[in-house]
Amino acid sequence: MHVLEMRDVSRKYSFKRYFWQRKKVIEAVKGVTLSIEQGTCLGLVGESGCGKTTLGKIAAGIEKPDQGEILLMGSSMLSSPRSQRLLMRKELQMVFQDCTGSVNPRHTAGKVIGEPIRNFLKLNKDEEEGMVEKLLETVGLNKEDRHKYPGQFSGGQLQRVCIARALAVKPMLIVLDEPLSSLDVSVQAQILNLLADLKKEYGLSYLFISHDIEAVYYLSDALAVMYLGNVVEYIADISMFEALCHPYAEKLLSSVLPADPGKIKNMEVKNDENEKPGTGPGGCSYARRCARASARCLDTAPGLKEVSEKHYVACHHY
Amino acid sequence: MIKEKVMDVEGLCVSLLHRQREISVVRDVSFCLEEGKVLGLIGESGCGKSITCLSLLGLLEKDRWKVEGSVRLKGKELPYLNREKIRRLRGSSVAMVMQNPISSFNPLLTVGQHFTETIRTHKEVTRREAGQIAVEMLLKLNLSEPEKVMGQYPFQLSGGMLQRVMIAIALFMCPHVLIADEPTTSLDVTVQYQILKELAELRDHYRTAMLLVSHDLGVIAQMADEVAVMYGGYVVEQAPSREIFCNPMHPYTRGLMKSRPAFTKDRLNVLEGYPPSLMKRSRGCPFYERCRCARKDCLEFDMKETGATGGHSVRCLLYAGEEEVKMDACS
Repeated sequence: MHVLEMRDVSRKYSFKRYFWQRKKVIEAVKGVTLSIEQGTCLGLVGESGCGKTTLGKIAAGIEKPDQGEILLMGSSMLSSPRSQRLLMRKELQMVFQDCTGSVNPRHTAGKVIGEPIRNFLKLNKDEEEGMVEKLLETVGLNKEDRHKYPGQFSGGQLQRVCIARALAVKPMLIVLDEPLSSLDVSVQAQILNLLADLKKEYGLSYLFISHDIEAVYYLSDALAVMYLGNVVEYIADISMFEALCHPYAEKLLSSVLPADPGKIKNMEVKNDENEKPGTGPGGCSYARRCARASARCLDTAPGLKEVSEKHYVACHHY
Repeated sequence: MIKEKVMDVEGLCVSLLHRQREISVVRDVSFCLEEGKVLGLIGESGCGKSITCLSLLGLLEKDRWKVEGSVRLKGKELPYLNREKIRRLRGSSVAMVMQNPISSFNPLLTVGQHFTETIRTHKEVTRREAGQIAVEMLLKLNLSEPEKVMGQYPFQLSGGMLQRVMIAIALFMCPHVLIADEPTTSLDVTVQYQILKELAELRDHYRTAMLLVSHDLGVIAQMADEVAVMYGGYVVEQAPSREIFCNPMHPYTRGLMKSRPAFTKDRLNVLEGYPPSLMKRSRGCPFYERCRCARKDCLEFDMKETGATGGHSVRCLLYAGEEEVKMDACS
């Protein structure tokens, strides 16, 4: 059963710098189709500016797509009436990248965690308090911490508060938008373990957005690689990790530095950052940075096609 | 090849003066940088990495920070008290690459203005000549269209390009020492890879001694010849890179190495707890609270170097005694 299905989702942003300028249009997400199985974690990797966060926001219902369809447990999120849509929000929660920016500094941790409870569940005050205490313990904090203000927590502890807030209404899917990037290495490992435990215990599904491929490998069951608004590769089973074959995915993997001096790489990669990402009309979005680009790549955009079982690539070479 | 000591730091102590209190941030740090070699400095946030870097350049404000210890550059003590002299050294003999490229540039000046300002402080050249030097330097760092970049403002460039510009500014005088404070933390993986590659090439080309600060073990493993691990202001372990990754001795180093997910699905072996707050430091080992093999006398430990064999030094009571320590006893 799919918790969430996104079908051909697109999102454009238009802006102009000066009032006499014509509007510029940026396509952050271009026709992405992804689905997340219940109780699994989908990892989403890509460089900054490739539309990962926008896709995460669309999945969490914060951002509306211009095009496409989002199905939550089989029912459409966009076409259902407003009252129902608000209830659907309960099933989707999000943990943001910047934990200090995503909590009100004037609310205590108890109030922060209690907010979704007050919103969705009709509980009296004592019940709510008991629930907050239980949630704090689930994420590895003390009961007494609910009286503390966000400024009194360290980054790792505050990220735990955010996770508790997301867990509060027992959602089906939690969108994790780079939950580790503002944390220390040893604390990152703690949060990763916590997320893995919660997933097992509550049967949660995650959409895990990150640029740390090793962390994604640890937590995810499926993996999607994004490049400039497109999903360029998708594997439904993380154990097929070695089979990743899109030129961009290969480049991403080869940039991971192993923490073992025995495996030091000779750094031989052609510098290609200067070539501006972007496409000609049509054409593969990666063509201008791709070492293997041919005339066909510049003309027609490749679609996502199945190359082997559970493995989809958008590249003309496969 | 003759190894030449370029920078020699001995007993560096830095403390913050805060409401009539002295909060020690860096405690008894000693290391030396050799020509063409990279010393990697790892540690969590708040362990004193960045303060160490800033104090080497004499960039800490004198009325708020107390710096003790000796820093010698090519055998000569750095003249921290003479503002003009140290200003001449900064940028020419000792250069620094900062963590966040976007906030290290003045948003109101073009890249070219940044360049010419630095070049004309250190060399007597005309504006035009300075421009030529800058363009050559940018070409060395594989930036395309350097003339165009020179006329652009920092916000018009991407993070990776700005970081390259900063490295170019840092290296045009061929400094003896380059201090790179988390040069790739704010960048994408693929860009990080390119920047590191360029740093490695420049190190080989100019034979610069480099102090590379990072919290990413992968970056350190890739670049460093020698590694120092910092915790709570102390360098708790220091050894050649291969040695420290194959045979980590301090419990903190071991915990750090294990907590990295390295393409496994096995449960991560984490260090419980959080790094200690600066304000709450007491006597004894700062790692005491999180250590799995802590003993009572750890609280009384004066953090002297123990067990230094074959260039591998550790500050841990486990290695103080003569007896063989079983390595797996506390892992």
